[in-house]
Amino acid sequence: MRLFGAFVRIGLFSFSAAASALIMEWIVDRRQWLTTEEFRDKLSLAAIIPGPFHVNLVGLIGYALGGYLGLLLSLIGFVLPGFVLAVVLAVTLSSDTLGRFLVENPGAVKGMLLAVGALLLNVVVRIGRFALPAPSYWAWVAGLSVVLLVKNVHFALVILGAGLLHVLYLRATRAY
Amino acid sequence: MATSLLHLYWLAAKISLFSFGGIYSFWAILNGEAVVACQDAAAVVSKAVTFCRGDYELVLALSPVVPGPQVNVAAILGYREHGIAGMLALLLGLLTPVALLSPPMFLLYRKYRGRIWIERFFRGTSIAVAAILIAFLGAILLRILPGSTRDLVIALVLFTAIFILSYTQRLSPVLAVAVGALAGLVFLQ
Repeated sequence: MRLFGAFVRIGLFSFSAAASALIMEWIVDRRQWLTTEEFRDKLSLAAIIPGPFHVNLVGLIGYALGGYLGLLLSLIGFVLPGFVLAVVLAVTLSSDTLGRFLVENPGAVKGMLLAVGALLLNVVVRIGRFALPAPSYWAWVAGLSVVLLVKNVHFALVILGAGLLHVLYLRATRAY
Repeated sequence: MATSLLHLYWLAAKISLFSFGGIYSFWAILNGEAVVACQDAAAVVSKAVTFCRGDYELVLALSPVVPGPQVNVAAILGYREHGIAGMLALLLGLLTPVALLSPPMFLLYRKYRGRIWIERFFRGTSIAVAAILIAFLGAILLRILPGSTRDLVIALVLFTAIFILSYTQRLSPVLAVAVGALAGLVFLQ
């Protein structure tokens, strides 16, 4: 049962690059493997565990449902279709035709990058609205962005530092 | 550039460890860590793993098209170094933190659920993540915004259009990239 369950991911989860959390919700409702409550738990936990969110979520659900084996199978299932496609892309990009086309038409690549940038902005706005406790926090984000644009601070430092500072700051400014 | 499979693996694991919110965190951090202008010989030597900026941008441009976590696409960069084995190395590197940390975290969560400082900590990191992503966005834009005014205007219009469409209409990422590619092909250089 658990093997089968994890394998289902292979077929289903290979969808949207972004917002696949919606698809996973589908699994909860459709297959009833987890209650909504449990699922939300996994969401929070996935956000906490270091690593990309969706990967974490898949892994967690796999672990919850099937132990370590479930964890491995669900992860493999999740990444497999995309990986296969990536291999195909890698090979075709290396070959002359597609690779050269893109190099000779930088406008197309620029257009695509603009699209990616727009999507990126999208993600930022959504994260912000979801995770930032108050709109004033955006000021901090803006300030930090400017700093980062100018100086390449090591990412671990920035991320951990921000988390730590936030905790300390809140502790210092109001009764715990 | 003698990068070994181990280096690739380690790079992916390192970056994955810190790719907190946001799928694009991975790209942003990768950019800082391992992407250099190909001609910059000194930079190439100074790091264990480097990728050419041109390659990186190309792969980034394709990233919304490939389903699954972003690393699937990033793995393409591994192909240049070590063929498919290189791609696998990157992929496995990405999966390692999850695989190792999930079980203990799962158990610990039960115990420490609801501690305030955890939530506060992660709101703090969200600030950092948002800032990193915005800085990354800025870097991308600066790189590709072209010289001529006409192109600049077109680029901005395109950007805004796609942003609005995806934010309000939930435009599919694949479509967004397709639109970008077509428009870029026709209008930009």
